[in-house]
Amino acid sequence: MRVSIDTDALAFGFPILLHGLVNTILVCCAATFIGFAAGIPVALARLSRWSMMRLPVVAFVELMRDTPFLVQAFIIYFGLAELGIRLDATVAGVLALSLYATANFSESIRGAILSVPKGQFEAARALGIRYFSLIGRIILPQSLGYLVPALTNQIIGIIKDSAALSVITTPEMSMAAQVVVGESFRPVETYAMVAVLYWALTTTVVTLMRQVERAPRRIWRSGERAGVDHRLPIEVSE
Amino acid sequence: MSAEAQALMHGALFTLEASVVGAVFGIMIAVMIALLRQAALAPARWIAAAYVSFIRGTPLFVQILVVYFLLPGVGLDLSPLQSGMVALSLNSGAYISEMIRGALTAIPPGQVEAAQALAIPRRWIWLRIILPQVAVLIVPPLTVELAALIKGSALLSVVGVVELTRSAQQIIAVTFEPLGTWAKVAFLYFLMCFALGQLTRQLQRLKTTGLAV
Amino acid sequence: MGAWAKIRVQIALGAGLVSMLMSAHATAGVDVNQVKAKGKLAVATEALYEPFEFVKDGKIVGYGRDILDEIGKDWNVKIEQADLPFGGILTGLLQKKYDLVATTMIINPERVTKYAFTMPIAVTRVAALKKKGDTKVKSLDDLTGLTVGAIVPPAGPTAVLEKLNAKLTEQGKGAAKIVHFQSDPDMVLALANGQIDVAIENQLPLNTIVQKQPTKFEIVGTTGDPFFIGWALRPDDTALRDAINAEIKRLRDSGLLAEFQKKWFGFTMTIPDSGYMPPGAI
Repeated sequence: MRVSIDTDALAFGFPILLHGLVNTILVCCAATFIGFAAGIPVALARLSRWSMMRLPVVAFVELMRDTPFLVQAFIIYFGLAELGIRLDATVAGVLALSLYATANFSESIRGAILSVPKGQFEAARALGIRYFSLIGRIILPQSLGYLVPALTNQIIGIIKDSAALSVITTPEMSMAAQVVVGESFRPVETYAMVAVLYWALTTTVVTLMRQVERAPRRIWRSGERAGVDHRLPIEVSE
Repeated sequence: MSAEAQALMHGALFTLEASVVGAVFGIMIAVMIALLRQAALAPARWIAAAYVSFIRGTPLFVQILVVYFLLPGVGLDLSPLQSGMVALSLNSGAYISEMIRGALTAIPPGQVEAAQALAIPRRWIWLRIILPQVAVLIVPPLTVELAALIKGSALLSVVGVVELTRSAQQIIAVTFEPLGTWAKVAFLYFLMCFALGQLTRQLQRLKTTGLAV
Repeated sequence: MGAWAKIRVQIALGAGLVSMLMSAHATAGVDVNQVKAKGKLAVATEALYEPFEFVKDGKIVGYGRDILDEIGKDWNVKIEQADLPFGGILTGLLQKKYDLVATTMIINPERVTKYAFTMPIAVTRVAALKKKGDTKVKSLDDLTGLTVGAIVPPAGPTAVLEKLNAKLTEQGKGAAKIVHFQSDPDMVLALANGQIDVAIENQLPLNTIVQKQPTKFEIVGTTGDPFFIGWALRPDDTALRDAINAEIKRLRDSGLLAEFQKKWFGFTMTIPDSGYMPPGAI
């Protein structure tokens, strides 16, 4: 068994893979932002008292979480085409990943909202604070402690699931890898390199999110130094 | 049942089988990793930790392709199904090893200390005290992992394993009806994973009502 | 980057290096005696192309399968056929995961320098499909202003389409708009939905489509020179390729191949055994 390392293949493939990495980052960023923005109303809808609002959302979230992402991508790319809606591979990819992100993020957001002590809701209601103010200014900021670690996991999941988009030819890193393999015929080297790049990406995201996690505390502490009073305007007894 | 429905059911059964086998081998690999993590030798601990970090930080899609193309190089000529199972098991093993790690920290250390004070041999402490509790603790997360395996098995279609997703592609190539076929496929996956999700919920309820540890 | 992350990356690079080191290359080619000794021929096919190779009742069937079955009978070996996506199928061949790629491929100048191709198993032409009764598409010579669908390159019919388009531009008539598709079902759906006016593909699968949906589609016509469809082996395995060629020749000369052609295509074709390879072929 003669063994060889093909360094030329590595040199040839690397720029293409880096380009793919940039595309992966772009697609995942888009899906993350949309997932977070859309995830909040979905989470709130699921917590609603009205089943008209709750049930369709429950169905959506359960459907997205209990089916493989690959199948979702096929439905959006090939299934919609049967209905006459033909989407470009990139648009379809971002759409599929965003829908998936929305469903998954909404569950984390829901958990985070539920982790805030009920007394906060009751106190705010008693003070006559309106619903959206309540959520935006009181509940969500306090849910960040739970939310940031949970969302970090979700974002890592989105990055990993984005690899499946290569099957519907969305330009991202796994698609770039297939292009490189098609030209260089060195699948082991190429896919190993791609795995390392994904690993570097996810590790970086985890490190970054850890900084984000610490930020509220830093802002909080700097407020303390400035003499800001963080106590609530009234005493709330649980 | 029409030929198409039969093919889909066949694919779904295959998916289930592949997932269960992946979970079983995953548990075996996970136990090995968990033991490595407790090893006296620091390099062994590092390898185990790096392995888990690598699997959790890279897409299953890429792992499947690496295993598929790497194995012949190490002299293992496996079929697409076999290399797919290896990839699923290796992937599962990492996640299950984290569950075992979590379960181990949930066991009060006082139990081990008491057992050592009573001069119970190490093997017995592991087999009779720790492992049974770990086994019970990891059952709910295992059902979650099984659902993840069912969804992950869809990626095996890329190396040609004829499970549910590949079966759908074969049918669509002949009937030219992607939407209907994928809808049925999504429904089948949903049935399997949703049922598992309900099982998870029941198991967690049992745990909190005090039936378990 | 934190210390832990650095260590992890180093371990990863190390793992990558190890995996690279393990890409082994053997040097000898496979020949028919080895296949017979093993008792099986490992074949890869993308079984998504009726009538050449497709799946029915869970089994791969079609024109290609019938030929493979005959080879298996004659050599007394089992045909182990896997259905794999086309994307990695030739890579897997070079990585020795199987010995023959028995999927419809056009014998074109680029491919024959990289792989050992068999003699043709079919001769066909590029044809166009349109919605039945559509008067917009009159003939393949005048596609000006139409939206034309073709399979993503490197597909043979797509190359023919591009040449047609170039000719139209030369003649000053204006080109057609080309849209690429991943697969035939995708393209045919676009045609049915009116997103493209006409689809360019190998005549034989188009015939099958018209056979199945005669009220919806019809063939516009064929164009260009005939092209040859063959199967691929590793460049080292010329001995095995020659053995398979001998089998194909035997089937052709005995009339069995013509029977298969009638069964799957509805007509018979003349298969040459020389003069089909572009220059520089293996």
